[in-house]
Amino acid sequence: MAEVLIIEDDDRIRPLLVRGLRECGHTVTSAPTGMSGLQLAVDSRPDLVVLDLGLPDVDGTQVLSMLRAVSQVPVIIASARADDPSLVGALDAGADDYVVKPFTSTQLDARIRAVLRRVDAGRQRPSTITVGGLAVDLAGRRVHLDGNELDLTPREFDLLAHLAERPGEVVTKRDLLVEVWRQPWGGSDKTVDVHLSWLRRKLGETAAAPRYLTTVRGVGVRLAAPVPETGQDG
Amino acid sequence: MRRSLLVTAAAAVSMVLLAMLVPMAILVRSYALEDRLARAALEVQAVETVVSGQDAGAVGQYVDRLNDAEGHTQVTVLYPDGLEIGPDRGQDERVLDARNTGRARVDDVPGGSQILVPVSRGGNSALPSQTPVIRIVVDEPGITSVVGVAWGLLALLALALLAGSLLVVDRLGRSFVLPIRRLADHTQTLGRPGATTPVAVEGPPEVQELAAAVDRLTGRIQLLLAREREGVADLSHRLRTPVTALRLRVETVDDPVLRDRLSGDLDALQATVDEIVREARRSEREGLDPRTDGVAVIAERVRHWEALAEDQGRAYELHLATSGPLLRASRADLEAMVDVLLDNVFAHTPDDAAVRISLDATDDVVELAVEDAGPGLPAGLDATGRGASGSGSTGLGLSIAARTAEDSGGAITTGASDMGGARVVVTLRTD
Repeated sequence: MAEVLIIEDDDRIRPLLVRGLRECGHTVTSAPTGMSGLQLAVDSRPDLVVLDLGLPDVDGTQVLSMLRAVSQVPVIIASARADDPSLVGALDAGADDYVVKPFTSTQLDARIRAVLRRVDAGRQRPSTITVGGLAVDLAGRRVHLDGNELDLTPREFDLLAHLAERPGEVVTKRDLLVEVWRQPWGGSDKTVDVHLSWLRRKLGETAAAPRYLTTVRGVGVRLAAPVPETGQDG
Repeated sequence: MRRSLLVTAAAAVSMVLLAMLVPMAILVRSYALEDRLARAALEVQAVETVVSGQDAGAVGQYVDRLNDAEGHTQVTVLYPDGLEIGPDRGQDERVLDARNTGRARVDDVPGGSQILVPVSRGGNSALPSQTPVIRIVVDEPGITSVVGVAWGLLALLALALLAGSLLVVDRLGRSFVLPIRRLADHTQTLGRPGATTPVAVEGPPEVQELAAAVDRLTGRIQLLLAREREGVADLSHRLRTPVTALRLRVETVDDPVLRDRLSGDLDALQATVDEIVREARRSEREGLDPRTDGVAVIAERVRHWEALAEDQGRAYELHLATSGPLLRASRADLEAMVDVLLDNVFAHTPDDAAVRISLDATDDVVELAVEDAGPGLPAGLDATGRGASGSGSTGLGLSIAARTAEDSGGAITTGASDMGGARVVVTLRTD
């Protein structure tokens, strides 16, 4: 498991997070201010930092900038709003991911593991994922199907990329709402469904005649290369 | 506004010019006639000399010479014995009066004036029966005479004065209208990105004061919006942070039944918090100018759901207007409203239940009707009430749609459709 540093000023949240993540198996240290957290990050060299944006002494984005000057440690931002302008600034400044309050330590743990997996895979991970005739260029945010580029909306791309990273795996709509829509609470399955329908259209298939996207009723959706049709001869 | 000013000025100047130039034109004509009469009086004196000393033959030659000459007079000599020399023959009462009284007279006749002068051939004792009368008819000055030239000059002067005054009024009007136009353009752009700098207005002091007032008001509104944004951000932080603490604390509860129950309560609390934050941020979404092409946005969003209907094999009947008025709502809120209405249909009706969507627009109203062939709405559903629940949902969805409709001046109503299921109608009004 990982060594995690939590920089969070709220005295109600910080100890609960420490406890929750420890129960998930992580080694956890914490700091209530930006400067003390920065000092701890430099001294203890954690595997990952969870950074709250609203700190009492220094703005979280500034803490991140200072941290990036001395370390490439993965950072997950914790914010009260998914569309907080400072959240965009933090991601631009080098944050690896973000979670929106409220969240549970289980959800944060899942996010930590996902970020650490990405970091471990590092640059060895191909920037383009290929599933059958489908090529998803993660860095360029472009998708080609049998050599032809598809015109996808940003949300459709994120959805397809998330599924393409798990080829053959059934992903639940709840997971998609959490990971793609960043809605761990609430959200509607139909929102996912309508985007899946548009993806099917653009992939040239339908729910009745799927090729890449297959709905597993009551479970979720799976992206996999279409099985070649085998001829039946006598 | 400039056009109105020009029309008003043209009317006023025209009236003044008419009041001045018409009497002047009459006066010019009168002077010209008097001038002709004065010349005619001189001719009378010459004719009188000839008539008093010459016989009729010599008088005839002289009168013919006078009448043949270029001029505006016709001379006739009327003898008492009935002999008449000249073109205008006939002796009426006025001729007899001049002869009998021995007094010259001037009378108006059709086309001009005439001078009647009795000529005494026997001195003061001459009888009327011995008195010839000289008649000189003077033509009234017409348009082809010097009067016409004078009238032409007066008309040119009037046109020049009118044009000059209109030019001055136009320049003056520009100095009023252009600053107001710039100010109006500036106010039209308020609320759009990059259009918040104060407008620099030159012109009359009143317009400058108006521009300054608009700038003050705009600045104040922006300040209030910025404060509201900060307040909402703080509200979001203050509400979601304790919910986060509760979430983390609930995780530590060992009893799975109690944990699930608390988690469910937290879900409801969080939905309420999200709704409060969303509503608090409505003005942030709308900005200063929330006008949106509602028909275009709603139609686009309705078609967005068509793909899912197609996947489900669900009949998806659309009757969509192609244009409509600007609505007082943000694009995001209109899209959320459509999503709520259609999400309810797709979530709570069988996959094969048909859907009919009608979007109608008039000059000031847009009406969206969503109908389905599903099981219909639960009895007693309050479409706008928070917490009213249908099919296990929180009911907050319809309240979001209702708020968007009500903020635009419209409403949301629910009922039964002739398709067998529910009918939800949202009315949105323009500002």
